[in-house]
Amino acid sequence: MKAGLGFIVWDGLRALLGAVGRGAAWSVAIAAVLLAGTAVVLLPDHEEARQPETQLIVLAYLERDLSEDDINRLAWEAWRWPEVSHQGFRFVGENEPKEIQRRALVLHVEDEQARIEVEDRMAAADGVAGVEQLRRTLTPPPRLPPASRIGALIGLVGALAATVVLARWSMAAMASRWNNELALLRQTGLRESVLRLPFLAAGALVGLTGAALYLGCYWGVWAWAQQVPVVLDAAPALETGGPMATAIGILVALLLGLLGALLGYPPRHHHS
Amino acid sequence: MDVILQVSGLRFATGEGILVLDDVSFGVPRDGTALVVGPASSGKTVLLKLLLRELTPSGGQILMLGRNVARLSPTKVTQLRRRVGYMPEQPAILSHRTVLDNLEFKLRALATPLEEMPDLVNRALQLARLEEEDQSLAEELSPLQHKQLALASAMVTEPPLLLCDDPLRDLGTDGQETILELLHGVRSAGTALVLTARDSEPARSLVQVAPQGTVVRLRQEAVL
Repeated sequence: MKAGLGFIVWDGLRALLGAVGRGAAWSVAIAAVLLAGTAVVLLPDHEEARQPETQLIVLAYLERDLSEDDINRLAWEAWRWPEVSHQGFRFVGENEPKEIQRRALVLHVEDEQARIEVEDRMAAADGVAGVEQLRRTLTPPPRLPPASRIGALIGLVGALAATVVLARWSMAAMASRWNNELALLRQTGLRESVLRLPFLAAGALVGLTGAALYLGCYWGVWAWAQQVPVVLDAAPALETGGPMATAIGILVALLLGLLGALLGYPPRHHHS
Repeated sequence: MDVILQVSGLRFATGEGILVLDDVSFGVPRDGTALVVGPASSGKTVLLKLLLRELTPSGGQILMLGRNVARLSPTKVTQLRRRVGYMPEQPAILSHRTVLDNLEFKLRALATPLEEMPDLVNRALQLARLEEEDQSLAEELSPLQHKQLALASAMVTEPPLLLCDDPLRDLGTDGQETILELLHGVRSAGTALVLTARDSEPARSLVQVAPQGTVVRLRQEAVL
C-alpha cells in the first residue's frame, strides 16, 4: 500500500478552510511584497536632469483641391529632406501642435537654419497654399522623487516580515485544526515529507491567491495609466512590463507561499 | 519455529550517553506473544519505538517480518510500519469524526482500494466490539471505548504483528477485562502481540493473554 497523497492533501487543505481569514491575510501580504517589489523596480533611483524642450515646427497648409496622391507625393519628398526630423499630416479640426484650420503637413526640424530652408522649399512647392512657422517650449511633466523608491524599499521589507509572521500564524492554525490527524498519520508510520504535503499545498494555494491579487492590481493600474499619461511618464516600464510582471509575479508568489509553508510548519513536538 | 520478531542484544543510549536499554533479547513466533514488563521509565516505550524505527538502536539487532530493521531505508521502514499495528499509550483519536470515519481516514491515507475498505472496517469494528458505535462521534465515547477505537484503528489494516503500549493503563477492572478479551481475540485471529505493562496487577493480567508467551523483564537502567 502506498500513501493516499491526494486524500491527505485534500483533508489537510480542509483544515486550512477553517483558518481562511489568516490565509487571506497571508495572501494580501504576499501581494504587498510583489507590489512593493514592482515599485522598487519601476520607480527611478536618481533624479533625472530633464530640461524644457524647444521644438521648431513648420506648418505647410495645403491647397483645398490637392488630391490625396499629391499630398502623399509632397509628404514623401519632404521626408527625404535631411533637415526634417519627423513629420505628420493634420486634418482640419485637429489641435496638435495648434488648432488646424486647413489641411496641413507638420514638419519638425532641428535648428533655425533648417527651419528657414524647409520653410523656403515648402513655400515654393506645388500644392502648398501657405507656410507658417511655430516655436514652442515643452515643459516635462513632474516625476516621482527618488525618495519614493526608498519608501517602496521600506514597504518591501515590511511586507516580507509580515509574510513570514502571517505564514507561521496560518500554518500554526492549520496544524492546530489538523493536530489529531497529524498524530494519527505519524502513528501510522507516514514520513514527515508526506505530512508536509498538505501544508505545502496550502502555501502554494495562498501564494497563487496572492499572485492573483497582485496581478489584478498591476493590470488595473496599467489600464488606468492608459487614460492618465502622467502615470506612464512617472514609471515608463509599467507600459511594457506586464508580461514580465505576470510571469515573475506568479513564480515569486508561489515561492513565497512554499517558503512560508516550510518556515511555518510547526516542529513535531508541537502537535504530537 | 516461524519467528515474526527476533530481538538480539538490543542496546539503546540517549544522545547524552544515558543507557536506557542494555542487552535485551527475545523472540516472538508468528501468532505468539511477548509481554515486556518493567517499572516506569524502564524503557518499555523506547523498546517499541526501536521496533518501529522511530529510534535507532545503539547496538544489537532487530529482525522483524524477515527484515533487519536497522538496515532499512526510510521508504522500506514506511512499508514495514504498514504491516505493524501500533496502539500507543496515548493513541491519536479524531475526536470530531465518527468511529467509522476514524477507521476510513487511516485506510484512505494508506491508499487502500475503495472496494476493500468496507470489509476491513467491519472486521476491525467486530474485533474491537464497536459495531454499534460506528456512527458515534469519537468525542462522545467512554475512555474504554477510546481504547477499543485505538485497537480497531491499529488492526484495521490487518497487520500480522501488533504492538500495544500499556493497553490496560487508566482502565477500571471491567475495562481491563474487556481489553484483555479483545486482545485474546486478536491473538486467536493469528496476530502476534508485543504488550508492555508495569510491574503490577495489569502485567499479571496480560500474562493470561498468552500463558505460553515470552515475558521480557526490563530493569530500570536510567531515569528518563
